[in-house]
Amino acid sequence: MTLILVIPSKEGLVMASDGQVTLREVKTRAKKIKKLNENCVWGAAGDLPLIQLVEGSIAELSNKERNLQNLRKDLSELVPQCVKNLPQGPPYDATFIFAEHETFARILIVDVHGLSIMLEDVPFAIGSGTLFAFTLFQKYLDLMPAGIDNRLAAVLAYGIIAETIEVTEGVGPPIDVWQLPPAENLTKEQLTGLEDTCTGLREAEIEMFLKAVKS
Amino acid sequence: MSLTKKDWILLVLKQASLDRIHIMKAAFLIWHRSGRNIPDYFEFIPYLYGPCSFEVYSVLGDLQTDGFILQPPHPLPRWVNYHLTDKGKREAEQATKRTPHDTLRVIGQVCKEISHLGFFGLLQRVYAEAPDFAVNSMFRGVIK
Repeated sequence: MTLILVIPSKEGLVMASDGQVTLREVKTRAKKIKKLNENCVWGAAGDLPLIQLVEGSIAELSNKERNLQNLRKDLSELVPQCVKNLPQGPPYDATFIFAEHETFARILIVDVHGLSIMLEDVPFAIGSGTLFAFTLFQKYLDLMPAGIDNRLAAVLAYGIIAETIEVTEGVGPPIDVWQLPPAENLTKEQLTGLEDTCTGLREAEIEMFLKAVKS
Repeated sequence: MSLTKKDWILLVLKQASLDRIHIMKAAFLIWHRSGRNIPDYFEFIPYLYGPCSFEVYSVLGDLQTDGFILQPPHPLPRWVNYHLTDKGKREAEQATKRTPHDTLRVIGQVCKEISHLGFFGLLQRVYAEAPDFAVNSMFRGVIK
């Protein structure tokens, strides 16, 4: 299972994911967010064979540099075509999320049937723990996108994924975070910095709570 | 012979087992109290929780991989103390012999001061001494 979320900010957006892949009884790790072009990243939640087939087809696209509005038709056709190319088996399922930032954040969601929706300047999540993520989004909805920069969006994204991992079966570390524009994957050290910031926020919350109890 | 970044972390952990945020702030205060002038030392930036050097993270990772320090696993996302292994203790001892007494005194004083502090207390101490490194902190508003 997977959790991928997008948080828009005043200067761009952040996409974050968990890093656990479950293959029957085996847990392993994988990077779930890919770069489409300098302004766009994408990820998917669902059946890995389908996701990897789509990844291969996306890599072969000759017009990857275009924006999502122009790519929407191609991407929406590509996914059901990949489903057809898979061997007969149980119904394959996956949801694909593309996020780009030009003058504002644009999010494209595509399902296995090729149905797509386009959203602008709102946070969104796909995969397991989505409801939990949306609940946490609500607290900060008024801040997005104009009230936060990419740094704070990254802290928020990291914190939501970390808290979801604690309570949701099937999602796990390592957490991955991208920010754009330009599309940039945070380094291991930058991710550790986010982890420490989120741990600090949690510690601060506990300390404030304890002070309130004592007073 | 000058100290390496690994030596500085080992010298801190020789004084006390500390978690990552305390090690970060100890490394900063050692630099700050040394007139912000230690050759080939960590480079700090004003980060989301105050002074931070991402090199501290990579050095801690290297020391752990090489068996000089260890950090027991913890089921919850909390800061957990790093400890010197026997190999780390021997290396820290060697580093101590190469370190001037004044420097050892600064390291010992910093570790003694901060090792018992909680998260708020630690940030209070650091922000009071180096407010220029608190400018980007998310915690600035609640640290009095």
